[in-house]
Amino acid sequence: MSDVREFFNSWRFRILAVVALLLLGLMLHAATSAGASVPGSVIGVVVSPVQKLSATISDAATNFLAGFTDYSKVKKENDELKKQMAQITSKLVNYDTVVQQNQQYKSLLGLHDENLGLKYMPSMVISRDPGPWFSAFSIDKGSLDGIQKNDPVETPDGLVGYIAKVMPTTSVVTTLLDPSSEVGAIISRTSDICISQGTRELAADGLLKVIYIPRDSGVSKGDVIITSGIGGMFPRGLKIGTVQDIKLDTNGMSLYAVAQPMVNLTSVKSVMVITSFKGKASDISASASAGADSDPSGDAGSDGAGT
Amino acid sequence: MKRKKAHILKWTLYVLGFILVAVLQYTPHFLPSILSGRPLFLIPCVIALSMQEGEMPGAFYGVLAGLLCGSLGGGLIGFDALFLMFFGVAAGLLVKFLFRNNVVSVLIFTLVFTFFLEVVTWFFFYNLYGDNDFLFAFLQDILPTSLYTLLFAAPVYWGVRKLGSRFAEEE
Repeated sequence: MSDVREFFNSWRFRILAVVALLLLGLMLHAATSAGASVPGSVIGVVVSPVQKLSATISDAATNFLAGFTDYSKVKKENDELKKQMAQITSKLVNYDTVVQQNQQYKSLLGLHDENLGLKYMPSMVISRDPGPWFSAFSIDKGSLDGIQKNDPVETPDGLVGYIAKVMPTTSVVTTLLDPSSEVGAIISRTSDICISQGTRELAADGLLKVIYIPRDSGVSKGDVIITSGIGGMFPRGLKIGTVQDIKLDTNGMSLYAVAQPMVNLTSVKSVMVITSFKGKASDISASASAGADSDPSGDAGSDGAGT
Repeated sequence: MKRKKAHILKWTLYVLGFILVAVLQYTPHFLPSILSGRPLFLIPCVIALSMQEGEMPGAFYGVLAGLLCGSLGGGLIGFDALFLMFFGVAAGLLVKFLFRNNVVSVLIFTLVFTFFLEVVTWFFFYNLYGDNDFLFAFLQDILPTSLYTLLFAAPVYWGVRKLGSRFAEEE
């Protein structure tokens, strides 16, 4: 026991106490400042090439093995896609006529196609948060590539999330599943304004919650949810997900829906960061609560922490 | 001179090993997740190194491992470093004064420390932000992560022990 006491009275313990205080200070600095800390950035720059290599090898191995292990799943998916294709082909019969008519009406009314001015930066997922719910991952592009905090992140299938932290050569993406993620949204078919948010319970199943849907909304299963563009954090029209279930909110005033994101957020391997778009807010607060501006009830709001 | 070279080589290998393990820990799809749990390889690495080399090297490699976690995992930098440093000191002192330096000890330390870190992480990053469902977090993440990490404790311990004893002969 005297040996233990000796340790606590030794210079070694004092050094460790100083290091612990320095780490505490570093932690507080990182928690209170908007950007990434210097040690984090340095480690990121040094290690990101190794991460990129590791992710490339891992992806290649996963893809190779998936060909054998997912055979029945792929076959089932193939059958479903064939059915969908048949349905789409039948819908396409009138497509050309409708497009032509649309062009004629536009020219008659003097309307022009909206240019959203989207600028993309393709990126690769190089690491994943091993913590709960896959709510964050890192990509191989950072501030040196023109990426800024709160830039939207998507794939051709739909919205993935937003940039939560930027380092020189890497960035951290918080996904739609994260409980701090709130995105101003519209139900495409009914034009009802709502908010898509992550909840931990649904995130475990890879699902989202869509809140503040008006009670008299005609929302139904299969409806597509898109970004509203209100607030200036996300451009309008990015696909978020499809409605899977609709329920009455506990307050009885509105509906909420459970939605399946368009993108499989737990397995996405490459993404595109939207570095610029028309209507982008020049000064978005660190809160990253895009939905706050578009909250119909005016009381939305987590503060973007807890990733 | 030869002794000094071996000394430098050993600590360099430990650093490179920690970086490699950290990269693997955060590599997407490297290992499948069990429920929401994924292994945290760096915890048994810090414990095993501390048991082999003592509490001070354990503490400093704990800081390195924690900084790697904070940087690669995108978490709050310094948070993991603080706890992994504590784990390094605790494992070294426990082996010095209370436990034997064997595989049973590393299994106990890994399970207890991983569980502790997971609970603390849940408290600071979920509970303080309004999540009160501990049972859900426990079953979905804390328990699977702790058990999953435990699987790697013995191989890591033997690896570090082998590396350490090989250099001990040369030193």
